[in-house]
Amino acid sequence: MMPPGTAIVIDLALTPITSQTLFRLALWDDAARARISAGLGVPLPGPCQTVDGAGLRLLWLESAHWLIACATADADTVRARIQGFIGSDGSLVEVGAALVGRCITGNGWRELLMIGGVFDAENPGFGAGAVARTVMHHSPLLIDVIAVDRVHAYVPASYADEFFGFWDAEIARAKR
Amino acid sequence: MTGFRLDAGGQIDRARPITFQFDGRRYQGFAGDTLASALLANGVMVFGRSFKYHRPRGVMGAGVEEPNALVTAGTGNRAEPNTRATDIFITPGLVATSQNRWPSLGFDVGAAIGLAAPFLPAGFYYKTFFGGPKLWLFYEHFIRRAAGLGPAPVAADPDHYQHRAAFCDVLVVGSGPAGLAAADAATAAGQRVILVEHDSLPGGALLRDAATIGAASGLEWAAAVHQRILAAGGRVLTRTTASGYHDHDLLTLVEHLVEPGAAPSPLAQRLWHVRAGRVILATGTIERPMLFGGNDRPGVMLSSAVRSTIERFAVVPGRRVVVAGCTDDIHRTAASLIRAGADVVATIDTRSGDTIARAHGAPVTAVTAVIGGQTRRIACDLVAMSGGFTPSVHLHSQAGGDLAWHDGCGAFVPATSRQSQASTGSATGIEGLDAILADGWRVGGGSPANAPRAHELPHHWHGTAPQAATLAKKAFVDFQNDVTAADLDLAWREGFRSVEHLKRYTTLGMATDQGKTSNIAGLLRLSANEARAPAAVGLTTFRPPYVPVTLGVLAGEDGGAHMAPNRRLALHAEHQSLAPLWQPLGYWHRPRAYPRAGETLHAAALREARAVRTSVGLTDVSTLAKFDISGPDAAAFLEIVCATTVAKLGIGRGRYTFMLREDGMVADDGTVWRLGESHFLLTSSTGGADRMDSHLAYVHQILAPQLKVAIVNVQEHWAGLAIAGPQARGIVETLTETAAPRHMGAIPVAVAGVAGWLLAASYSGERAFELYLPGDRIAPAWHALKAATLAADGALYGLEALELLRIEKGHIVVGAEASGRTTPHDLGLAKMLRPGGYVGCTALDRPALQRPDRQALVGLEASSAIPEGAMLIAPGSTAPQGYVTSAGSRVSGAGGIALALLEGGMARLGDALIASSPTRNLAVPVRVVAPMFHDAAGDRYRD
Repeated sequence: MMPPGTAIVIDLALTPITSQTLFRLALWDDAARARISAGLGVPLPGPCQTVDGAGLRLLWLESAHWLIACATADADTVRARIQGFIGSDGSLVEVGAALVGRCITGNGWRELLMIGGVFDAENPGFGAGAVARTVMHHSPLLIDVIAVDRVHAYVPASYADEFFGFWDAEIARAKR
Repeated sequence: MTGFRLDAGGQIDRARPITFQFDGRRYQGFAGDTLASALLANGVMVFGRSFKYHRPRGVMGAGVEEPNALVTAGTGNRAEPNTRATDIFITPGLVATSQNRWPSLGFDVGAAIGLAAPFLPAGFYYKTFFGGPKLWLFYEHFIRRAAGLGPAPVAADPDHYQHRAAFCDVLVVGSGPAGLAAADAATAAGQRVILVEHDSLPGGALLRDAATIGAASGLEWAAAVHQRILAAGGRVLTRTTASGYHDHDLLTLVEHLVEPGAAPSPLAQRLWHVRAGRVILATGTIERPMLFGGNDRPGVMLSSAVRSTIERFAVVPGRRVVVAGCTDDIHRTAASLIRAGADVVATIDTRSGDTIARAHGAPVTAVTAVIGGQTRRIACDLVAMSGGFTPSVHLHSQAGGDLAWHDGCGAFVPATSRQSQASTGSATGIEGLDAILADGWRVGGGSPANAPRAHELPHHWHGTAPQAATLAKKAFVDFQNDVTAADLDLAWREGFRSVEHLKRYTTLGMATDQGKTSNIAGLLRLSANEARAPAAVGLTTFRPPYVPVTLGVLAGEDGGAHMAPNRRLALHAEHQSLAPLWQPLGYWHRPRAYPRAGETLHAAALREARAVRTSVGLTDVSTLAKFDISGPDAAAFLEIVCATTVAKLGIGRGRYTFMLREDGMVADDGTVWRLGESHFLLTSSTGGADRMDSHLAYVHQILAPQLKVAIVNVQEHWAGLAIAGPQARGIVETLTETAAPRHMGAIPVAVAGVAGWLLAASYSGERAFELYLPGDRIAPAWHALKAATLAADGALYGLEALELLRIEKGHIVVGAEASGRTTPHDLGLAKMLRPGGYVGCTALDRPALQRPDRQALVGLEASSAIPEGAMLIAPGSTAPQGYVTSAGSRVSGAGGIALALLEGGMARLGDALIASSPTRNLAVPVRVVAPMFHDAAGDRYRD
């Protein structure tokens, strides 16, 4: 990882995240949590963490709430499978149309996430496998760190044009 | 011309000459020069005119404390007024202009005001500008013309500014010896460090005073520390000023990425929001002027500023110099001047009883001094004065810290800290470089054994120049606001004893420099008059910002189109292609109407509304708040949230509902739908969506955490289209290939393979449906419904038509009728209330909410338009009895209709009142009727 403050925005690229369906999982019973973990073969992630497995990416959102990302082609299968695990001990609601995502690639993502924000994206502890929800440039923002040089960022769909336009402008400005 | 440039030395790059303009004349300086040093090197002594008396002023200081040499940097809409010439590093093409003079700096008509100085005493404004309102308007014209120094640009700022967050373990403010030592120690301890320096180079006093630290020169040591911080992943921010210290150790830093007035770069300035684990303030001291007549003359400078100009910029600001002051530090300046080739004609140490009585000439040509009891006139072209040094405690005070009086400094120093903060170095009153380094190292967390050591002769800067009880005229205390010692004395004689009152009466310390050089001198004057110790007199309050900041950097990116969020509908592009009138609704933008060519808004809205009444209309309702609520206890949860019954709803059925605050007032309304045995959809108003989201979380997490229920905000997942009118059912059934549900029924549907929900609900008063599909897949349904609607002679309709329709139907809206002060009884909703068990039910029993004279919902009708917001008064009376909450015109038929809140409510049916709007000069006779103007039986939306 580059030392904080040395990365630059100029090396960044933003690409839309497509063909992905998002579900919000809520559980009110630990038994369901165990069933899901056993069924999927991966544990549900703990606070501020993500887990990959079974063709899914699971993101912790808040206590007893997770976001599940899967390929759109698999969405119906995933829905049926997880609903089978949770029974009446939780809920699974599709929320994919509510969020618009961009994949940020490049070493400068930490720098970009500090502009107009209030979150410590430069914290060395905030690396791959970490997830955070914050506010940036008026918009709620979900940050999912995929790798050392790759992050998925989601904002509510209604904010997306303006928010990602803001990022595009900042990157373009850094390249001038 | 007196100042001159040395052939060697200084922190300037002689290989990079820079040409710039001041007041239309071209000058040359070098990279690393400030505007002040470059002009002094060119022999310029007069930089501007003072605020009140238009006296010629030169440079007094060498940094942010400069009160005199204020200029406008740049031109056009990039001009930055009131910028300190000592705080602008020259850039190629810089255009700087002097201020507060006309027609020129050399000949200023405004200087005639100086002749009237005896008639402009302290508190002149308060003593002169009183009388009736008309007189004030007369005065105001002149006061406004006289106000301010440089003109503010009127066109839009072309530059870009940025806000940036940063976090660190240790933030060090000031990169003088103490700050560097503290940052070095913290870095060595593995801390994430940010070091902030207002200057372009780290080093602080080391830039003007040579020193040896360890085996290196002071500047070599500073550069090494700089590198160590960077190598450890820390940050060193130069040209960055800590402008504010806020709660929870949040500091705002203003970083200049380009100099004022310079050509634009991608970014002009950046505002850092730094949240620090610990803050170390190494902010140094600010030298004070001495009090003597004419101490504001061009050519009278602070002693350390003279030395800084010589050592930092290789510019000697005068050739024949009088050095005067109260500390050993003046002898350093004298030595520096002599080394630079100047002639030090007198060194006046006030500790021996000598002093300067008066300076003559503008620029200065001589001083009258009292030396050994003898009054002597000494010819000179530069006076280097020192009235002592004031520790810079601004940030410590902004952080809530206490101050203590320090007799040695003759000033306040930091005492108790209220946040995770410590001060160090000369800002705490410590003398001597070695002691300062040791203290900085200690505060930074280093062990004493490893502290950097300086090799120097003892250096004492403590001391306070005495103030004579009687001073020559024009002995200035506050140079920027032209406040003299005589003004302070007069104010005291007039009874102003509090330092805060003195400040406001005389404007002492209220200029753009916020009294950096004047506060202590003024305090000492008041202290002497009061015959009270300075500590007992107190000090005025330090507030952010520490230095003037541009409005641009405060706004950051949030200007123009980014001033506020602009939330777009999923179908934004589709609407935009139809060129609607847009309506802001909170942060959302929704079509207000789709006017045809030449059609007014009202005409378009009426046409669209009539299409709904007679045929069919289609509108986008995606912004409605929507919550997916599921779980075995979902119904129980909703019965806590909603004041109406919910649990009895059958699957596939919905109902109108409303929610109360805990004080019994209606918070929001909407519909609730039972989609499955333990699965509900709750809708509520667009504007209240975020509030409802928080309320639902509050109810679940605080009031009913035991319930097994999940609440998911699906406002943005489900986009919605409402299709209303006599032909709506047929169109919906064709699109969905399904039998439409009866009124308040809900069925799952699929449109073009996309699954969603079809709800039969009417806001317009006509048979209507709401189709909800995922926002990213709703466009095909929109196009199909739009085509069918237009083919049926229907219309797309926007918020304006929606408003006409709902008023005619008597539907309330949150923010108008549900104003936050209305109960269900006030709004005619009492029959729908459950006996209890919901949020707010207990409060409804309060007697005040049962009173029959409360303002309650009624309808109004009139022969003409009723002004919205108008007061309702009885004919011949002026006492308001209520007000018009919503008004419109009948969709079919003539005349105005309105909804209103009126004392006594429905008991007033038939009353004749006046809807009075004095601000619009309107008074419309109205008649009180039931709040329902269309299909009271509801026949039109039932099959």
